[in-house]
Amino acid sequence: MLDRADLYDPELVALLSRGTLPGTPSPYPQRGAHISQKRGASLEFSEHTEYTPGDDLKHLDWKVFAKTDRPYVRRYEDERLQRVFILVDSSGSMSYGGADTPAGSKYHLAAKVAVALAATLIRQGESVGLGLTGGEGAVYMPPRPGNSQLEAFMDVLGSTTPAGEALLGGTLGNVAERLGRGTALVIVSDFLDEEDEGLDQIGLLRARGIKPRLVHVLHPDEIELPFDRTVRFVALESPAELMLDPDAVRRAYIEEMREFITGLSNAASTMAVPYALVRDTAEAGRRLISLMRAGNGRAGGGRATSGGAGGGG
Amino acid sequence: MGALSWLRPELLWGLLAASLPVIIHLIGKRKRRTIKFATLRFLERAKARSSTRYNLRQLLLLLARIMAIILLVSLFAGPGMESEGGAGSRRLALVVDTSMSMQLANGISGGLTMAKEELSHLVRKGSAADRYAVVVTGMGDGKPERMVDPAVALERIRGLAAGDGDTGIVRALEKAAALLTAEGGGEIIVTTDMQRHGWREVESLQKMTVSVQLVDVGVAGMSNLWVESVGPDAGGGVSVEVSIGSSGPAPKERTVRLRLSDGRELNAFVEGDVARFEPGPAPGGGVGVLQASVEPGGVLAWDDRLSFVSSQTGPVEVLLVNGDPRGFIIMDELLFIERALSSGPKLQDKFKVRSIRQSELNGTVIEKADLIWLANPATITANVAELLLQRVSEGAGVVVSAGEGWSEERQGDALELVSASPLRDRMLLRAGDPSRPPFELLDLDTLTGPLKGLADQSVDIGRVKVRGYWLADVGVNDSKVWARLANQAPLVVERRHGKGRLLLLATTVDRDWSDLCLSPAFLPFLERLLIHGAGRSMAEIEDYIDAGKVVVSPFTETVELSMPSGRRFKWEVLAKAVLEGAGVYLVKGSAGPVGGFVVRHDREESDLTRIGVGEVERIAEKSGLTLERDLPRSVTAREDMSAYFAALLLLMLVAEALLSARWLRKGPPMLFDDEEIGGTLR
Repeated sequence: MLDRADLYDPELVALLSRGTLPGTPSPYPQRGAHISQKRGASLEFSEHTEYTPGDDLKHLDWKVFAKTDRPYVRRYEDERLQRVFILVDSSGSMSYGGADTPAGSKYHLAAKVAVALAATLIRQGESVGLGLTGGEGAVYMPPRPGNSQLEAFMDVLGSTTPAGEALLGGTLGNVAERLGRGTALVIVSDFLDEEDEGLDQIGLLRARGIKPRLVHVLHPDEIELPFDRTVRFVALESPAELMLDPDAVRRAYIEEMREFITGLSNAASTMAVPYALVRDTAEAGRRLISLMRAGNGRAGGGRATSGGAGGGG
Repeated sequence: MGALSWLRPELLWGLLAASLPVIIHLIGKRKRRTIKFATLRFLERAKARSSTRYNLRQLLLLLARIMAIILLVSLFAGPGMESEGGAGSRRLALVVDTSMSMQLANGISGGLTMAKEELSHLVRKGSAADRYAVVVTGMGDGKPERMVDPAVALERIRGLAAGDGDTGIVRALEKAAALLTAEGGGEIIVTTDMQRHGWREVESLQKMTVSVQLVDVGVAGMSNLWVESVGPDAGGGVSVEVSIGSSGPAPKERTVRLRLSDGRELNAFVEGDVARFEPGPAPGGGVGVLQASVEPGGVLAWDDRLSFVSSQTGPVEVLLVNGDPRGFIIMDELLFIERALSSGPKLQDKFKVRSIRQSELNGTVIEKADLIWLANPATITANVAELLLQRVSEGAGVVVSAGEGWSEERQGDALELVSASPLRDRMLLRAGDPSRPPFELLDLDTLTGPLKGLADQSVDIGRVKVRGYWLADVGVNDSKVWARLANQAPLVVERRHGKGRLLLLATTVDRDWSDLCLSPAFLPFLERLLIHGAGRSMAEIEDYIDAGKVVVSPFTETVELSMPSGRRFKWEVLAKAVLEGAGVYLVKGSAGPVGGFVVRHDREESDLTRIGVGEVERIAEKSGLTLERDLPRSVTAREDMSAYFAALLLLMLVAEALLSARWLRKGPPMLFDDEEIGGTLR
């Protein structure tokens, strides 16, 4: 069990509060700090963007199409508040790092990151939802504003023990059906399930108008394998085990991890999905600020954010 | 290629520690722990990628650690490499000059002492795998000369003593070369005092294929002397000639002092390296012992203060009395005796012969004679017989050779008194008797006393034929028979009378009754009989006998030797003796002192004159012998390998550090730096 004190990191929240809002201030500050990324039909024209499958054909600008022979759709600014959904991986692999409790585990770190993000956004008047994916069953808390949401948020996270498999792909499918277009989705996971590597579901989210962001949580041990002498490794999500000398495989292991992390990062970049690797709370603040800035602002919506994401590292 | 050797081989037990890395490795594998890990996917992939390379590296690391321990232990054990000798050992033949001159000392240490120190140092410096042959000069000391290990060689060197051998360097070199050649080669080291005499045969040295190192341990400035000759001088005394030898340049002034037996001292006239004395007759005549010494430099223990026999007893005065003078010389009874005793200067010095007729026999001539030979005597007067017996009682001898002149009818007259035994019958063997040969041979088994051993000489005394003889009645008085005929008739009979002897030859010494006078055995037979009869047991013995040689007693009776050590020794007839102690031996026979002789070391050994190394080299070059003057300290057969082992150890330590990547473990291995992590952010 994790209590609220374990989950709420004031320093991290303060750091995020100072740094996560560089975008264009909302003309309606009482409705939220940021301009919503959701484009509406009856509001002010925002920009033209190239047509992608799934776009409403009624917004296709035929005049531009006639001039350029390329399909563009008209985008409008939505004056509604931004909605953010945070999906936390609570699978068994996330329990690494803790002894017999979640404290100190990757799940603990992921929960603190989720709470800090939620607290910062709620404090700014935005709606935040929470989802859990893991062995104890899926949790879905639709985005809502207010501190009560944050408290419920922490209760759910604190009462959850990581177990089972993540099954992230299925969870994302369910979440995508529930979230409306323009909802920001922050996925906090170790992405260690083999099917996660392709990020196919994330690509579909992107097609549904949901803006995903990836927070990749890894324990330093998983990166550096700092063990010596012969070790019997037992998998956390399966009964498999492996006996080997870490010294013997360290270099190759690190190479594997490098390829894994780089592959995930490149895949995210290809899909214009912001990505951040977080190993501890010390670096979490800086990386989360960069993560949340990517894709924010007037010029950062839709595909236009992919360039900004590439340069926002 | 040599072999490894160790200064402290006992430390090699530490090599067992080389198994420690393996043991630690095995223990480490047993201590395993369990870690619950997020996913095994990357571990499995990593294992598939790197296990082969890692195992190889681990194996190399293990080997490096084992090698490091081995090298460290080896370093403490003192590694070295044998550089010569093949098969991991060096073969040296140590030729040691053990002649007496190696005793020379300069007040600090003698030549042999220095040689033993040098060689012991050399052996100790070598390795345990070396093999040595210790070869002494000359005839050797009787110990087997073969290749031995260092411990035995050291023991052998310690046991060397001056006088074990002589100065025969060349013979020792040949022995050493033969030993080394049989062993496949090696090196000869010669320690000598460079006495010139030792190199006397170097020109005859066979071509040698082994190198020779020469170590000069000689001591300069020493002198000694040796007696060249002792003989009668014109005045009836003795003349002594002494030679002086020096190691190194001779002092300008040297004194040779002669101490006489009466206590007087004479300084010699030194001319070159020779000093001569003529001290005059020895007091009391007979045998005297004189002592000579040389200064300065005379420090030798054996012959710089030399004792020697000053005089002898002179020749035997032989009085030949012809009892059957015949006017016609070839029929004369004494013809063959006179001719035999005048057959050479040696016998002339030994015997002084005078011949007279029996009618001329009187007290005057009898008194001067040491031996009186009555050849085929006729009747003598009682007065003459009394004179003869008187002289015999004083130590002289009378020999009667009976022939035709001794008739059976005159038995019982005065001639019987001087006969060793009464004569009973005259036996003349006729040629016409078919039942027996017309002669009798000698029974060689019956030759005893002065004639003992005569049959062993190549003189064919067994062929002497006796056709006529007198049958002696030897049972009447206390007489001894020294020879018998084959029919056991006594031929030579002796009866003691006072200090002298009465001898009977039962046949003639002319050709009438036997051919003894024509036999080659006649001269030794005659000589023995005369010397024995005169009481001069001193027979064929040299004035100087080399020490250590086996000598057969030449005396015709058992004599008593007074040895230099003071001991007395009964020397039986024909007994062998090894006279080892140098010095004067005085001989005492049954009739009193009869002379003496000197046992000494090889006279040449006393000559201390040194030969230069350069001269030896020049001579030896003709035989292909290459001499090196360096001391054997320069012979380094063992190369210290510590530096190489230390370098290898350092190399192994570096390899261990590189393979184990120990410095990388000071902190956790880093996968990404901040910049790299930043690059992954989107």
